[in-house]
Amino acid sequence: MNLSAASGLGRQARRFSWTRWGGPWPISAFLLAILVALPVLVVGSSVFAPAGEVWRHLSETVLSRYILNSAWLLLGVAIGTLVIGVGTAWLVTMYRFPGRRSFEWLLLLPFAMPAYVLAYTYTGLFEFAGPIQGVLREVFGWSTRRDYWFPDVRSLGGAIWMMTFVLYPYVYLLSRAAFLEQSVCVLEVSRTLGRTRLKTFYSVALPLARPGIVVGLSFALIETLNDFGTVQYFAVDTFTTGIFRTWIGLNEPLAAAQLAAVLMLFVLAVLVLERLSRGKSKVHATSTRHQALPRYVLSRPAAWAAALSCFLPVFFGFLLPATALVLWSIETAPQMIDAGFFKYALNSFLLASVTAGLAVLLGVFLAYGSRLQPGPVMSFATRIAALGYAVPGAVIAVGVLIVYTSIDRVLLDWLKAAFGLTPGLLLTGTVAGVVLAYLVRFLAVSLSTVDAGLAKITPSMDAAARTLGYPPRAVVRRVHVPLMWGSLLTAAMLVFVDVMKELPATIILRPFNFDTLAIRAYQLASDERLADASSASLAIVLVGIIPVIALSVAIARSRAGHGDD
Amino acid sequence: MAMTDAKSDIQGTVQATPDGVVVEHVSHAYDGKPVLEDVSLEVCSREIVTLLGPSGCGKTTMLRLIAGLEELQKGRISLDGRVLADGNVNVPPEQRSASLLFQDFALFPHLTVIDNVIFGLVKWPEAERRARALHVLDQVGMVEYADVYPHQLSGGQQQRVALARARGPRPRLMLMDEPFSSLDTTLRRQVRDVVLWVLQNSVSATLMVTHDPEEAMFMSDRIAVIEAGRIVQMGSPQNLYHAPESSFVLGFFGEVNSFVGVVSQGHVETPLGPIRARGMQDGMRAEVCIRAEGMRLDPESTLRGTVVTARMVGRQTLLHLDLISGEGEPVHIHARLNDLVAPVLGDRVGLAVDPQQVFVFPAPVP
Repeated sequence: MNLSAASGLGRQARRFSWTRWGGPWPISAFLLAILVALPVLVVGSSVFAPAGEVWRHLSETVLSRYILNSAWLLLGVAIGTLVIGVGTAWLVTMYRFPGRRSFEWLLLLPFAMPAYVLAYTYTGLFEFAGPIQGVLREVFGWSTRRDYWFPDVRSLGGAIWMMTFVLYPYVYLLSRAAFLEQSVCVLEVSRTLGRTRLKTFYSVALPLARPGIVVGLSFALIETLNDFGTVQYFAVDTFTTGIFRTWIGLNEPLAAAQLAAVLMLFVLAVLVLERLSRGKSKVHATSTRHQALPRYVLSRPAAWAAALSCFLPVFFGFLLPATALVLWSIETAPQMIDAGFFKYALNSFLLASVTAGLAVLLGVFLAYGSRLQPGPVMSFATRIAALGYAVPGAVIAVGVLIVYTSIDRVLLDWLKAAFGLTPGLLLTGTVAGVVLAYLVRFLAVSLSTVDAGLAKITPSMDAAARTLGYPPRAVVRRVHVPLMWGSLLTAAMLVFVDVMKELPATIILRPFNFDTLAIRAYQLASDERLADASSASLAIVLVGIIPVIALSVAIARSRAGHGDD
Repeated sequence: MAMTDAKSDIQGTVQATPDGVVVEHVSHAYDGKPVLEDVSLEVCSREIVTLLGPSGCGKTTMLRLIAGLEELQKGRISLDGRVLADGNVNVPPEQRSASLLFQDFALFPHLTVIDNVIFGLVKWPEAERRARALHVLDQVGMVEYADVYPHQLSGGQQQRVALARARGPRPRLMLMDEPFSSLDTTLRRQVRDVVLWVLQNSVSATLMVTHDPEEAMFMSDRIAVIEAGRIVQMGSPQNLYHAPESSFVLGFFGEVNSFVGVVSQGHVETPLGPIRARGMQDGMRAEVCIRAEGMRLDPESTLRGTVVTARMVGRQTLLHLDLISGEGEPVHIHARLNDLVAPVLGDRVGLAVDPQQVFVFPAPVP
């Protein structure tokens, strides 16, 4: 008996099986999926184009460096985010120590920091001319670089540090959820079978939480591969910087696309690893009985050590850079906050809100399509649309640009031949082009949020409303709109913030002289005006805090259900 | 016509009565897999009928077809003489006056208890809605929770609100899909009492679906037992209990000892002795079923068994016995005794069979 399919809302898809394959809804969803997939397909197909002279040159000179740097970066960030993310998640879910409840959400704050902002701030603080080294020289009477050793911020290690401290919240969030999901019973069984607390962690809690941890890790690694601002500023040559140099510096789109294709292989590897790890262990839900976690009491020194371990990531990932940003902006605001600044802010705001609106609209379209007309076409379309988030912005930018220029060429030829019109480029270097690229990347964010919201409206609620006398349209108005509103706002907010922070695709695709806050911060930092970049950076961080607060509230609420302390 | 011969209900043409729901020759398939085959039944106004069957037998589909949540493929459904669905007509669910009570209650989380009830009163005059909602909430004892949100209520309370909401618009037909399955045993009994009381005081026809025979017997005027998409027997609870037409129906209402043998001279030889096979010809394979409660202790009897397990279950004693026979493996049987004097493990006891609790059916061809 399959009851899930016919939800009672809208037409019944079951009997007319053609709606599962065709019909306007699945077909438009399919076209949408193609639109999302096209840039990636174009990049992928570039592999089959004959490799030119440039590619040979690249592979002889820089390719191995790109691969090595990207690999080291991935490894470093993986270890860093795992240690910090899993460790803090375990501490806040299993132990009592001072500030534990606050740390539960404080640990999320670094989410608000784009890695490149962290990079600019750390450089400003810790470079030779920066305040920290200045104080050290003063105190110890050193004068030149030769007198003392200080770690170089602008290095591979520095890049790993920055990304670790802004990306560990992914691992923290998902492993915390995984730990909470575990029944305390299995942990207690392990104790009664003679394992110590630490051994229980390694042999029971960690393996059970692994699927969640790996999902969090894969998010962190995909963001690492996506990063452009940090590695570019630190002159750590990775694929993203290589793509830019080849495209803009060498003016070799094909070679850039081929580099992008290799980068996609890395992404693919991360995704495959995640799938493999998930496929092997369908453990989850250890028991339907969920008892509140006991929260072990720690001895006083241990409790303070736990508090410190939770404080340091928040400090390095948020408090320190945020304080620096605030101080610098107070200092530089009079010069920096001018008409230009508001124009950049307006541009950012427009791009972000238009993209957010469209992403939510399309997310609703796909989510409802899957619910009302489930079938192979719809599920294919949603799966493809959801993949965009894994594709680094630089890859999307390259793919999109290649697609746009060829569409523009065709369109212009046709307009000229048919109407004698010669308008400017329609997609390439226009705001529409930028928004389309954002949609490719961030549609997945809104889709998953809308989906989660829709899942809370059970098919029987639809059916209840129908049998209580409401036609489908009224069901949407009276049940779905009020229940979905929150999810739609959340989806819009997440996309909005992601667009505000986005750098690589914006740099490549934006119209001439069309700058956003992120671009402004990037340009000022590139000119070594780090303090001047602080106002734009701070604005991005402030916007980025909104979803973190929303997330914290959601966590606080879910904790009420767990009835602890 | 309620408790007459069940077979004529199914196969004969059902006369359209003005009150209640009439289902005629309904068949339904999902992706070519049949779930209902030629089902006909009738529920009169003020009557409570239950579809009883194992999970996956198609009974929930029947409810959804009547509610209009699933499109009818074959047959006809009418309510109070008005055709709801057949080959040509398909009245949308909101115009059917059939309320469905869901397994998961399906309360709207964004509305308070009273707003959930008022939600269903869309066709009522604005001024009367609140009073009506309070009235039905009062019937289920939930009136003091009117301004509370569903998530603040316990499962049993949510169920009662769901019932009030479904009853609110005075539907001509109440459909209930495993309405008590998500409640624990104690709560289930309480809620069941409330629901039965409320339904008995309404003019609606009620069609309920369950897999729990005790619940079906408690709630229903009539029960239709469904096996693999077909109604195999329909009748009053007493009728089904005392005159089951197949071992499937018999097995539904309690534990059974069953033996298969060949009829010879009008009898079937079983480990419990020869049993008369009424109406069966010699040479036919027969299945002899004896209810566990059809066994009793009899010190005089030559039929003897060794007690393997003796357990007190409520007011009854459950015995597992190995029959003592001359040769071969001992035969294992179960007995449910109404007295509390339990024999001890290892006792050898004499057994007798209550002929009222013995049923013989043609055995399926092996």
